[in-house]
Amino acid sequence: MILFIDTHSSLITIALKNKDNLYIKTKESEYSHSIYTMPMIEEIFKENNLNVKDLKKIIVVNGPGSFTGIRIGVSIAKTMAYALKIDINTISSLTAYLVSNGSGKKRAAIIEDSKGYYISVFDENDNNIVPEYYSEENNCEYERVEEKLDVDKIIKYCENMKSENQHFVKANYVKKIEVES
Amino acid sequence: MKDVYILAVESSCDETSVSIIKNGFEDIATIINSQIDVHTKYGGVVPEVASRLHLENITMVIDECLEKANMKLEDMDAFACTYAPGLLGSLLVGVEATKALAFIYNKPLIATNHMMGHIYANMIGNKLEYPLLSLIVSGGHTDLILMKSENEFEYLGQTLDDAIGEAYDKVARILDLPYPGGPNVEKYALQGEPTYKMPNILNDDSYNFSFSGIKSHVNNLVHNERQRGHEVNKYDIARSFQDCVTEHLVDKTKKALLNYNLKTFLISGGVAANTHIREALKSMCDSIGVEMHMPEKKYCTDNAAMIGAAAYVLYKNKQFSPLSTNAESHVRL
Repeated sequence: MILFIDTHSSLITIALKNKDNLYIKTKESEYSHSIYTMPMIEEIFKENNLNVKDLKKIIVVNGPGSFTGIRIGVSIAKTMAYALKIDINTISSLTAYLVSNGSGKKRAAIIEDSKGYYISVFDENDNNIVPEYYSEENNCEYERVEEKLDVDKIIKYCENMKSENQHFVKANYVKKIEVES
Repeated sequence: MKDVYILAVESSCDETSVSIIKNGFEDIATIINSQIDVHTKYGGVVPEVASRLHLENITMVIDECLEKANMKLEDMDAFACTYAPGLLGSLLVGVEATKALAFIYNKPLIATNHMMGHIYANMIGNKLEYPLLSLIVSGGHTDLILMKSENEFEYLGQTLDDAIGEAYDKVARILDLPYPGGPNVEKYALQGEPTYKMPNILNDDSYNFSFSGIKSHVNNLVHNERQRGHEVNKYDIARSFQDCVTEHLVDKTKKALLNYNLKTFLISGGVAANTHIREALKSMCDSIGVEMHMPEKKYCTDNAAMIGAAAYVLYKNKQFSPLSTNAESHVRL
């Protein structure tokens, strides 16, 4: 059984996949990710009569996006993976959009924030040809994919990834903060 | 009664700390991962940097604590965290990690107020008699609180402007002393004499405090001396400042102890690690027959042991929190 957690944007997505089913819960939240995320995880297990101890792996979207949102998802994910001693994979929010949409084409995922754009580009074969970067202007000429998640495709994309060490799981902020630059 | 083990997480500012506390007073293991070296570079705590480091360290600190205690997460009766007050981004990392543990092990989540933690730092290895007067002195607080019983908090007074720790840090900046400012002002004060005249602070009938006036006074004093080409004796200024604020604390505390006829007094918070302040309050308490408690210095600055001690009081009262608990930057007791 695999748990998927995405808190990088105003749409929280929690999903649970076992061999028969894929369960998904979503919730719109502006500044209340902390209020909703853990209860959504609890509910998805309860409502479907599933036991958290049967989890084998967690996939967490670790950014870029809302710094606070990312931290909430990543803190939960790495602590759960650590406590349950199970595998964990992180996936970039941009990669999550790219593998969810427009396969077989050259395409870009673009996430806007108040000051600029996070951009990443995939080719026809899902190779990342322009590494993730942050720009104040949207200077990307490729076709832009929708900001929609296809959890099945994301789980499949992560299938053969090696588990990360839970302790070393980090957020993917992309953008440097002012004191560092 | 069965022994109660609580795993507590503190991440409200720049320390990631995890403790396992037995029955509210026995510190089985405490790990404190301080970010002080990082923040020294910037001359103070940068909230975004602090949040990032908490997230990187959180599970490692939990793991180290369990290893030190030679215990497992399964052995815990409850999971506690600081949920307020503090830096939101920092608090959230600890709050979410603790919620995840409470969920997995199906044990109570105890969201604990950081200030309550400071007070109950006095419970570690100690027994308290109520009613009592509690003085919290830290970078964000200067509060006089009357506690008629273990879980009752009545604010008698607090600072009207800056917290005492904040005043120490600002004086450190004025004197060009490095971060962390407070402890450095204390070091300088030890080698100085109270030769500079300081203002008479808020000498009124209330139990409130004020520290912005003296900060401005020190600022003007240093500025004027430098303008006149006089050398500023940093040691003497630190000493004059420290004597003045200490007297302010002692006066207000003494008044509250006498007016409420209290026999027990305790201090807590980061500034409670200041030896001069501890000694001055102790000698005042001795002179009026009040028993004074102060935490060991290691429990004065931010740590999770005090959160575990406070959480035990909430545990006994079954004051548990839901998984929807949010972090909050400002909450009174």
